[in-house]
Amino acid sequence: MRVLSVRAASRAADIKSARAILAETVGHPSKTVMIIRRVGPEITRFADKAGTRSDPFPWREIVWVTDQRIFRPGQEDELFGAHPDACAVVLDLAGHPATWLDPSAQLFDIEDAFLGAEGR
Amino acid sequence: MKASLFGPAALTAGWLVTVAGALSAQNPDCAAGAVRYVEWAERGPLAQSGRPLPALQATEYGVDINSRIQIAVDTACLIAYLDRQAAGPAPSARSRALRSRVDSLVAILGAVPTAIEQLQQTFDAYARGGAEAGPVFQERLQTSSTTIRRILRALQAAIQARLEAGDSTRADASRAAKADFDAVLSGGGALPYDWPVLRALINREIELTRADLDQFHRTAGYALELRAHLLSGKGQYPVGLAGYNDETPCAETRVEPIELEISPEQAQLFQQAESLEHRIGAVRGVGNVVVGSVSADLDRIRPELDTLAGRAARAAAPVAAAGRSLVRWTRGDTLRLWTEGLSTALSRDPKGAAVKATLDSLADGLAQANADLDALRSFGSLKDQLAGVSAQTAMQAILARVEQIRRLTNDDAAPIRALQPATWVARAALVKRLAVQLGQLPPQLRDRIRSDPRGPVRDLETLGRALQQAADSLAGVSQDALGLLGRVLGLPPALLAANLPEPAGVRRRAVGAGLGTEIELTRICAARRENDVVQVEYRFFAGEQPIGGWTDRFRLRVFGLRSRVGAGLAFAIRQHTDTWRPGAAVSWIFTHRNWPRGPNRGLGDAAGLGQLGLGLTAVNLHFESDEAIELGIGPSLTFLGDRIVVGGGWNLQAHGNHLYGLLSIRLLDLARGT
Repeated sequence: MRVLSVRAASRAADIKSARAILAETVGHPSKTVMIIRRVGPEITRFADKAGTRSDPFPWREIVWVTDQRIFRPGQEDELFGAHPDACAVVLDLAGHPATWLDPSAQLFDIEDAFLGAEGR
Repeated sequence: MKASLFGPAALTAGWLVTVAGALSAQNPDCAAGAVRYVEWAERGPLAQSGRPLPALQATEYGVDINSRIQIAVDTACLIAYLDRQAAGPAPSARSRALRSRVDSLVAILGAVPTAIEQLQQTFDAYARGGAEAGPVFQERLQTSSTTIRRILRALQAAIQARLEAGDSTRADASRAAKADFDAVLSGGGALPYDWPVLRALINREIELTRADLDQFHRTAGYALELRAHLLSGKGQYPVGLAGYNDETPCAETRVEPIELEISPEQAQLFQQAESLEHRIGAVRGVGNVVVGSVSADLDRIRPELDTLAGRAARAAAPVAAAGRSLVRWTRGDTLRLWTEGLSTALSRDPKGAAVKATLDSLADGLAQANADLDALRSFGSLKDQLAGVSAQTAMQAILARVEQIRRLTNDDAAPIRALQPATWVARAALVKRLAVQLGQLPPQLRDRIRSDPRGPVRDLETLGRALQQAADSLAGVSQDALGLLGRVLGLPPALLAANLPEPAGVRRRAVGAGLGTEIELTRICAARRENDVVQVEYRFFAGEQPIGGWTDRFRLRVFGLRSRVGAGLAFAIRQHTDTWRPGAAVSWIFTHRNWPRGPNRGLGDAAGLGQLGLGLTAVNLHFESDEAIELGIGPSLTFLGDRIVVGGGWNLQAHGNHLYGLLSIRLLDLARGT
């Protein structure tokens, strides 16, 4: 899991490098990517569960964007637009959003989202 | 968090192989059938261990005439069979849903090994391509993820459906069902899925769903009626089945495999042959011997053939007179459609289901009534034609008429079925039952049914009377003659066994544990002969609705070494002469039939046509004079199951030329039922 954050002291540099990582991960042709947004105890628990369903698979990648400024302008809307309550989106191999999850998602929901993005 | 990109792939690959081998389908093994038979013969190589009969359904077995047949029922397999049977007219949406859920769970259990294999291929493809894994990996990933998702979703849906059927709300059931997967999805550490836990979860759900289905069946109900009958040349007799009817078994009677004395029936045949030996002249040539033998046989059964036509004419009259009411009940699908129209009203009344069931049975029972009436009329019109003609001509006329009826009615069984009194008794009983059940309905519904101008019920009494009169007219019709006709026409026992007498106190039992029973052949309350058939009929119900069944048959045989004493007319030819002289003969013949085992059903040559016999034949000879006592005795061979006896012997009283040859043809041996 890649945790992307922005430090106050190096805001611009962190945002730049984080955007690069995000772009590289999202555009990878052999990865199923989950992007998590926001912070808080609920999101942390969610991220733990998501890691459980990602770690055993080398092609699953999770990027946790802890600071909304990391998203390029308009990118968060592209990823989460119609799902304001969602804390995570799973992208398919082509990088298109496939499934959205809210913080209350269970392990089953997370696995189902990954499988949905990977399968037919 | 990811320790190594390829570590999990390597770890998983070896583990997957181990788990895949351990997985197997968890279906109950129903290959051996829902009903299993074990024959316990009193002798033979399997007398101690019992002979499990090959597991087939709706089939015929050969069993020892003195044996006991144990019937064991595998309830799980029977329910699976009934579920399939009920798939058409399903008893309820709930039953359908439960069946469908079990099917789905069994299917995904079977798909787990495939998922494991596919996932391994995905890991391999990824490992080969590294981070740049290309189209092959993507294709494999699509395949494995689709399979795994289908398994997980089907299982989750099944668990949720079960919980929803209980006290849970939809939301709670969904959450709880998903939580059941936590152990599968997080218990494996670095492994992708905990497959043994997943398999256990599927198995648990199959068991729970089956239990729900069993519970449903117990309450809403699959039920079984089991009937057994002995079908012999002399008639059809109900057989006692503990737990299924109140027929009382009779005292044990064994059929001795080694006969040492002549039976009363064979003694009668001997006397008939004696009476013929002076009336039939000597003949030249074997062809004339055959003609003479068959003519003698036909003469013997002539009186029985004559009664068939007379009784048919008497039985047809009342049914034909009630023709208008009968037509209302039998025309096309009229009764069935009318009954369907009443279904809703009947289903609202607690006693309506019984009326509906009887109406359905009547629709089935009367469907053939028109064909049977045609057959009775046709037979009845033979009465004058048979008067004064020879036995051969009478037999030819009857067989021609039977063929004509079969063509006319397009029903092979109609000629024999129509002449069976039981056919009409059973129909009359159904009409009576319906009248009683109608009387128990609430007045408004009862009157609506009785007075419906489109319905047949207002003619109920007329119809019942006509059917009973037909049955009374046919009572006493010769079962021997009917049996003979059936055999000459080559009709299987099933066709001859239409409308069997109902056993006393038939019970419908809920499908559950303890359905087994047994048939004690030696305690059947009727004489048994080799080649008789014991028929066991399974009728199943979902609630009040019949959902089919099947019939198994047990042909009674004598296995191992056996002997019988048989009598008949023989023709003997003295040495140095060319004429065959008739004489009454009695033969003591030994035959052997192997005891069946393994997949052998024990039928062998059903009619015994390939069976050879060896023995001694004694014959009345009339070589020196018609009046003098001349007795010949000598060895003989039998062919075609004792139907043809060929031999020779020594004339004990002759003054010279003691040797003679012998030929006896016994094609129509009523006493044996063959």
